[in-house]
Amino acid sequence: MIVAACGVAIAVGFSACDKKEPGYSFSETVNFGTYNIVAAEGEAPYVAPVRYQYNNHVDIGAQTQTMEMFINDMKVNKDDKVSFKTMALPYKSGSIRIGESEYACIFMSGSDVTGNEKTSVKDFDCLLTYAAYMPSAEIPGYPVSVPKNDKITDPVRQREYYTVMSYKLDDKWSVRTFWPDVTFKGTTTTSYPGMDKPFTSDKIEYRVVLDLKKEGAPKADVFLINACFAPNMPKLKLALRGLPVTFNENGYVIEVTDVNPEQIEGEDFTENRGFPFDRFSMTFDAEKCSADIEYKVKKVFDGKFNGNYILMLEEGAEQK
Amino acid sequence: MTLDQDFLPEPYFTLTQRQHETSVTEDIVFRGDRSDSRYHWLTGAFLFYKHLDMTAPVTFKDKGISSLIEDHRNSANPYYPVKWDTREFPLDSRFAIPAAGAALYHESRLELGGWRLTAGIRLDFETTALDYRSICHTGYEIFRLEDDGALSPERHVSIDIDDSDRLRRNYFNWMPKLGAVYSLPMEGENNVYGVISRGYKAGGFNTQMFSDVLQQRLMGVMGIGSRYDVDDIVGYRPEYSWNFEVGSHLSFPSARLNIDVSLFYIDCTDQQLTMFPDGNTTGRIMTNAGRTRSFGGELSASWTPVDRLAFTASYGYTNARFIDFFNGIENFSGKFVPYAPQNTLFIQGVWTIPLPHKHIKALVADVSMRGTGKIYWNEQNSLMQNFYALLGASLSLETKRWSLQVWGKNLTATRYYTFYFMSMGNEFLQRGRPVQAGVTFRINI
Repeated sequence: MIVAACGVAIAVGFSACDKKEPGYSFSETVNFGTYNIVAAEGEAPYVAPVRYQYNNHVDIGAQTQTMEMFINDMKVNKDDKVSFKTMALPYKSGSIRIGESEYACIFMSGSDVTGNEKTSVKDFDCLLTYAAYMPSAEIPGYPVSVPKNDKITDPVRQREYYTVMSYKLDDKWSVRTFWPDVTFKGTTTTSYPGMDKPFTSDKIEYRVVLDLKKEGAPKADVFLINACFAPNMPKLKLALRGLPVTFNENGYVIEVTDVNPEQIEGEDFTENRGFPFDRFSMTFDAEKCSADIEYKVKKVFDGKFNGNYILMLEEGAEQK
Repeated sequence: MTLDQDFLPEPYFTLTQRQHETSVTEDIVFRGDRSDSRYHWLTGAFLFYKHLDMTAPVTFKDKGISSLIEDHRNSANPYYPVKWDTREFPLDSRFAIPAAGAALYHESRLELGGWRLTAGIRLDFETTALDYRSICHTGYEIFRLEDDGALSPERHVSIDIDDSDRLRRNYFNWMPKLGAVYSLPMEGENNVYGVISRGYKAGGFNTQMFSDVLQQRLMGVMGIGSRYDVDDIVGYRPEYSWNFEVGSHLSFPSARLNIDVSLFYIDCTDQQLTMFPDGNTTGRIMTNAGRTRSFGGELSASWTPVDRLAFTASYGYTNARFIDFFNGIENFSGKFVPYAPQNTLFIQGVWTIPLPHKHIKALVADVSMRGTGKIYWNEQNSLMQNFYALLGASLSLETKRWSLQVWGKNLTATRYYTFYFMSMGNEFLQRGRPVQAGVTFRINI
């Protein structure tokens, strides 16, 4: 279950009102792009880009807002396609503050949200949000990829929500969505022999860029921004590129041993044999939008990280 | 002005600063001050506009490049060491700081018998901005360390930074004031008074930190160092205070003696403090302490026992401490506020001897003593200047149109320090002036 509760106040999720009727109401259909991980027992997870569609209906007079999600011919593996829709679900909408900016979000869920008789949709959670962390440093050759509709030319209107969705289709396929270019922020704890207490930092960021287009096994480029393994150590921008990615029902795993990182320097990368990674492992949970990362560097520094790429709020928690 | 900003004999860096400031102020006051009325008032408006243009390039020199940049980078990646293209390059910072403000104020005074009651209010609005541009064009070569120890060129890195932005701050404040003066039924002008008022000092921008911001930006391009949030590190907030004062002005005409005494208490939030950031940084920043409180008193007296002989003395005591100040690393609650002298003392005697000369009217002898201290130099209160006194004297010939003065200062050669600062992680104290003597000739035009 996604731990997220945005502001409860009814808000206009999308655009213009129909003012002809005494109580204002409007409906609109929009679509947002994301990536699916579809897993079924006995099958390898299937990963593919998709665009989900949403019918949003807001009735200001009745103080209700509902949304149904639907998709046609969604591929669940190389051969099979499924079309389905949910019932119209009441949703919460609001905004999350990060620094000086406000980010809209929409959340809806239900245990059985089947909208037609053909395909059951259960254990449904859907968070649409703009509140995703951005990396604090640019990586040459890696412009940040965000969900957007390239058919719209206005760069502001191009932007789409990040889709964080999980559900079960026909009691057979488990579906999770994710975005292939995300930045995780959280807390890194590093320990090394002889230190009084572990070194903790919430400044280290981990940007993960997945390459899903090439043939063959997917690869990941992981960038550590403000990487620091001990107090008073310079903060480094490091890259671990071309790492193997293994998808599973919940997300994906990256594991590698004995690799030298590259230092991101100027417009290129310089190998850095001064901080070899004996081990690097990452477990991404698509439903929780979280990553657990562990690494050992120079046979001395043991690092552990846990964080999210989406700003998650608990019910009643203070907005940042 | 070009300053050796590291204050070390080695060539680290220099700062060259140019400023051009234009300001316009206007104060319009209306008064109701009829002598036959018990009620008096004044109302006014104050407007100002100020514009400061400043350039402050820091030039990195050989030692600064090697120890602050190259060594830093090479320790992070020793198998691919770097060497800078030149042994000197500038980090250029340019600023435009416009500020404007307006205030409306009113004060009413009511006389009731021996009482004078005062109430006032000031509404103050100020807006300020910082337009900055940080420029750096330089570069370095990356080498590959071969197995035999030789260095082979790997690639060149160009650093081209041209960052600009505008930061804004707006401040609105209201400052009330209440006062009461009671005239004592004594010979001469004698009273006791009490005042409560709210004080405010506008926030602003730390332009001196920009060289460090730019240096970190440069090191970020190199893959080391972190990018500062300019808005966070460059700006500081306004300071607010509630001020309480009671006192008395006493006059004893028959004794030719005047005495002023006052006690004060100040409760200050977000007090603005000068601090020197840790590490190999330069320049000072203004930051805000959580809360401070000060209390103390002042006593001054002037006595003219006979004509042409006058004595003046004043003493002030201030106890200023942090109530709440945690800088993210250390808690300074309970410590004395630095740079605030705890005691100030001044004693002076002036003897005027009239001369029976057509042009030279008098010979004036003046002896004075000024004392200051204890002063703490840092928030930790680990460094301080004890109380010190400076003796001065002068002898003047005075005419209607000119005067000639021979003077001496710090005649006892007291050794003292007037300022403390840090640069590049090193601590410096500015020594006070030694014995001084001179002659001053003044002409009244």
